[in-house]
Amino acid sequence: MSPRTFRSLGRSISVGDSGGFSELIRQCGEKAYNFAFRLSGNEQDARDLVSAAFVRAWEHFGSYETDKPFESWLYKILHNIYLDEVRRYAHSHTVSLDAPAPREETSWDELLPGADPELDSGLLRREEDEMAQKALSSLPPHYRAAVALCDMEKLSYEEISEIMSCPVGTVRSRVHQGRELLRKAFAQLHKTGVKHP
Amino acid sequence: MKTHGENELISAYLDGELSEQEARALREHISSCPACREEHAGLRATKSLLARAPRRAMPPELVAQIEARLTRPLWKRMRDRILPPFTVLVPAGAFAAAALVAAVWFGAHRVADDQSIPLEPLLAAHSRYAAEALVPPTELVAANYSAQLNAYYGDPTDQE
Repeated sequence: MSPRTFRSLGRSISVGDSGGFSELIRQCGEKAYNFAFRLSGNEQDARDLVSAAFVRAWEHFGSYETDKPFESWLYKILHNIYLDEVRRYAHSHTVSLDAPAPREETSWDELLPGADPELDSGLLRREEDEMAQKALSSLPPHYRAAVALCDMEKLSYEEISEIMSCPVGTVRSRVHQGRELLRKAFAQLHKTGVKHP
Repeated sequence: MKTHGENELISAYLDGELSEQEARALREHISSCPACREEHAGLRATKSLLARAPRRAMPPELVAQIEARLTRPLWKRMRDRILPPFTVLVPAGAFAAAALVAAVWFGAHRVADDQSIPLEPLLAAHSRYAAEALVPPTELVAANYSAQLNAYYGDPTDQE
């Protein structure tokens, strides 16, 4: 959509017409849903996050700068909602947004099946995906978001800094630290004898 | 190029975030430094694993659910944002109801306890009565007292 189309959409939203916005949901929903899933780690929370993000975007569409990508703005809203939820949880539990997360009770060798040459590629991909998600979910929220936006949504550091409201240098640090934490998780898999991609 | 302790450069290189000059210097360093070569290989494998993760399709019904929320009146949307979700409210309401019932039950029993006759004044009255009574204390038990009276006046049930 061009900036002019977005301005026109803004006018229609201001009079309560949701038709054009529905088109935006269809265009950007898949990306938002994937980002939400990588942040939350489960389908139900991803649905809630995406739903809340679109509703908030609809309510505050007047503050959207039409010369910037709508998806980045939507990611930013979604990320803020996610952090609000994490902080709400942290209010009653001890959680840090930056410090390494405590290890989960489940060990890696319980989460992953043993290497089997007969497994087909589809099954292997699913296992890889589950492993990647488990590893991502073990990261503190800021690292998780930075790595997901960089490696899965394939955004530049500049775009990520806009979404996460932090300097580019901080993004670079978070992406790198996040990957290092993931490497440690994968290295542990090696020790337990599970095939590592 | 100094990279030990600055491994962020390797990540930035993998992400295409270095200038051409920085990238060239890093490539030269990696070619001559086994530790940084190993670091580069490990980070690249991690990045590759995440990049290969399959995309998920947005659940089709979710679009309709979001559209339905958009057309809800503003006050209902605000209420949804302020109040906890239904899945939280139902257990919370059940817990509150159970706590209320328990409080009423314990309160009622406490009132009943408060209304029961205290033992100490009763024993004191009994002792005072025993001291002042003309009947000997060993005969204060009602059955014995009746037996004494019957012995003195004669048993009314005795026809003889």
